[in-house]
Amino acid sequence: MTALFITILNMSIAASVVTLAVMIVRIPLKKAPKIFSYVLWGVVLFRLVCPFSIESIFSLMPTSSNAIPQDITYAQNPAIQTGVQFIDAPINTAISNVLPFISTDNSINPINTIFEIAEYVWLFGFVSLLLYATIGYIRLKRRVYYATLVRDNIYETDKIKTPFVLGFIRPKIYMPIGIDPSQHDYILKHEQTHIRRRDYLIKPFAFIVFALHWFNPLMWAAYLLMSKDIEMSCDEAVLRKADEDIRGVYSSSLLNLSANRVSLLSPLAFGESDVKSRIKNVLKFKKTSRVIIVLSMVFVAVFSMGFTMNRIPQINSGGNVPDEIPAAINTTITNDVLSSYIADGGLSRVVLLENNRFYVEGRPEISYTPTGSYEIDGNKLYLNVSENQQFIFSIYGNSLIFESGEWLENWIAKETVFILLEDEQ
Amino acid sequence: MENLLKLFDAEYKFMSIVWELEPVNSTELTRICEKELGWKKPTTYSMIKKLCERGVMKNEKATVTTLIAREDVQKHETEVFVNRIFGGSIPSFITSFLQDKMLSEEEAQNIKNMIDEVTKK
Repeated sequence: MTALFITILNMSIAASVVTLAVMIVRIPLKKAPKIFSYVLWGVVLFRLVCPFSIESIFSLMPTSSNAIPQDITYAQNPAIQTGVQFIDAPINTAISNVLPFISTDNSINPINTIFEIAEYVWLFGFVSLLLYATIGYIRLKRRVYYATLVRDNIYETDKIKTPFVLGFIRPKIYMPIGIDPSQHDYILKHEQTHIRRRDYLIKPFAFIVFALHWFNPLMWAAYLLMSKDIEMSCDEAVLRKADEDIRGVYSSSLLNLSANRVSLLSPLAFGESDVKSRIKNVLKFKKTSRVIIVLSMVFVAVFSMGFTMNRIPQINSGGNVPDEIPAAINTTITNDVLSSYIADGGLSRVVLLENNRFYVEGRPEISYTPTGSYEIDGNKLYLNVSENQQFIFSIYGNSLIFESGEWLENWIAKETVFILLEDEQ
Repeated sequence: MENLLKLFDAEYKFMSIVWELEPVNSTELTRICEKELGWKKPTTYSMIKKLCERGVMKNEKATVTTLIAREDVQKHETEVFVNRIFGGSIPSFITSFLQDKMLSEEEAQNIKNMIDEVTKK
């Protein structure tokens, strides 16, 4: 579970960066249709669920996607690597100050214990939120159990105060009884727009995703802002399609039906989500010019691409190149380099040293650098890290082919070819 | 009695169907409710059960009949309404009701007769 938890943490960090960017970008987008702000939250959602992405030089991400190394619970000096110096430096100093120093190999790493406790707290929070949402859904469903059919998928009941959409497969619109006939049509159009846009699926999905990241307050802010953008863009769609100016009627329906309950997982309710700012948005609505729409489209496209792609990891960012070996392993590696083999353009390397010593770099972003002594038997190279950890390579001419080795397989595929680096001999 | 006559919207719509058709077979009733109210079978059955428990209707040998009259419910609802909105004052209720409305000679006469009926007693 540690691996999953670290992945969640890393996604949370990446999504926080994107959330801050979306929050900033929403300011210039205020004048543009709210659908553009809504689309931007899609990038945050992507960051919250997908740990991988394409690497590109066009990435706008200021941080690396693996700020917390997967092997942090094994690391002698646990450290994060966001790739941003002024974030890493103070945090890593704090980590090393807080954590007690570990002297022997067989003692339990304190960071391991911290992670184990944190994992259970996280899981408990997630399950509680899902339970809360499910109970809320069931209660609402019961409340509209006897709602009566008006036509199509529209039902009415006097047990609710505000209209909403409920259901996942065949969503239904529930209307309270006694809505002013002049407002009835627009409210219905609002709810139908939700259904057409599949908002009734997107919002619960977003809730589950945000619940996975419940420990991150920025994500709650993102969820609330996203709900607001969903409702506002839906309001705008109704106003845009209306033949006449209905801003007055529409805002008074919003006011009359404003939901007075504050609920985290509110369904797509008509009077939901900050009625005051929605009314403001409705009143200042005017059909947007084509120029603004095209500009916003380009802007949103660039933003989404830029923040969806990961930046290319810099080889030197981890500081794990042979000539600046971190202090922790410097004590074991005092010998000269005999030969070094690289794979993936230098991202991974195996370095053989004098006196049968070696060290291996899995990936530049990993802080753990296995070392030990090696032996050669026939065409096999055995790198002995510890009693139960051994990396095995086959030797073919000037190259090594990775055969097996539990830890290393996390980072390097089997049968990866390592080439001898000539000039370092 | 008060409690029996207070019906929610769905209950009133359902009762209206039964008043219209009673005595009515419960299976037949589920079929009609599916068409008229969009209810699935269990919804209709649980509504029957709920109203039987309240003593508003009866379900014997799959035949459903009501135990209260539509007029009683209407009377009760009107009283509640007049009390709530017009403080129980019938004249202010009628004034508000007749605002902006033109009555035909015949309708006016009908209302006059109704008032005479009440005052004679």
